[in-house]
Amino acid sequence: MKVFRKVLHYWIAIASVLSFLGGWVILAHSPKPVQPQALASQSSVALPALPPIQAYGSIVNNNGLGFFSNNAPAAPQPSAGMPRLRTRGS
Amino acid sequence: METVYLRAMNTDILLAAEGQAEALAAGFIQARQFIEVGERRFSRFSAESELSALNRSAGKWFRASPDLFTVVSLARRFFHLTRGLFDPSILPELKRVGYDRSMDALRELGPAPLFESLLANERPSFSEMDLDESEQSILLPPDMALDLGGIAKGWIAEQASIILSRGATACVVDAGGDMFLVGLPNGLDQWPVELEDPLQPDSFLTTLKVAPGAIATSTVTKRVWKQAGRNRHHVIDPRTGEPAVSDWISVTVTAPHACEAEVFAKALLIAGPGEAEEIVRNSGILLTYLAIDQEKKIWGNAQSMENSYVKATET
Repeated sequence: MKVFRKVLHYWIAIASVLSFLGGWVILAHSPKPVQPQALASQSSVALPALPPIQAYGSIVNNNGLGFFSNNAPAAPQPSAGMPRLRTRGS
Repeated sequence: METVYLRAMNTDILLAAEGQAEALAAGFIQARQFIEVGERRFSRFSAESELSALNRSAGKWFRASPDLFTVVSLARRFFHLTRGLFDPSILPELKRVGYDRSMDALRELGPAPLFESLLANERPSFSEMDLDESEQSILLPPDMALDLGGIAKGWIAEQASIILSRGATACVVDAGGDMFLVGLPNGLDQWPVELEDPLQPDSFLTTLKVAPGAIATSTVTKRVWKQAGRNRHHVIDPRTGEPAVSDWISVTVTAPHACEAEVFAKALLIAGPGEAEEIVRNSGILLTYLAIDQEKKIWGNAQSMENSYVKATET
């Protein structure tokens, strides 16, 4: 009986060590979960800064002047006797 | 549409209105009178103007007319909103670079020679000016003098438009290309306003569709002269005390009020592409702007494009 107990103890100890090592190997070869550190760094990645102002030239027609031409209707016709208005700086 | 042309504030002024002939006639007279009185009050070139009297009183309290007090109060507000890029206290710098007389006289007689004055960082800041609302009084620090040219012109144009609108269904006061528009002309849903080519003033780049409100343009290609062989213009950068150096040569702004359009057109021209967007965003005012560079490219922001306040069509 004593011998049997001793063998059982050894068996449990060896099985535990082997199970632990087996689990280690399985975990080492399994896909890694997303690590919190990576998430943190992902969330703090700065988006590329947009230029403060875009040139309309990039969306204009050939003469480079007619921005808004995509959505603007034809120029309105002045009503009878209406003077031409022009903003020009002074 | 009935029209009246006059010359005031060193610029050509157009009054135009639709409505009953009799009511319009009275409106034209009253609006014209208001403009002429305003010119006398706000001109820095006349020693008799109230503005000149205010400038002479620097260092002591000056009891102002309601109109002058209003415009100076607005100027202080815009000084802060533009982070000092609009600064009516740059008059010493304007004089130093030769703009010490009206533009008509400057063109005829030539500019004053370059002389030394207080440097921009030595003169008192406009923020040191004090206002007493209950007494309608203004205290300029010693050595401060104001030039209210653009902001006063815008304010006068808007007030004159309001006077004119009492007898009109639609009207505009156009002060040298800076306008205040009331109502809409018969059959139109917006006002067509041409945007002048700053490098070829006899042509225009595009036609803007402008809602009732204000539109103003500031440019470094007008009011230019030479002083001691150096090219000069009237848009002074308060940070340097020198004519502004900017990537843009012209900025057009629409705004609910004429003085806002005037002030921000100048401030954005000085600011250039690096700061303009932030100034507009922080202003809290419904502004749209179009800037033109040396290559005649038109610049603006996404809001300008999406906002239906101003749209442009090809010419």
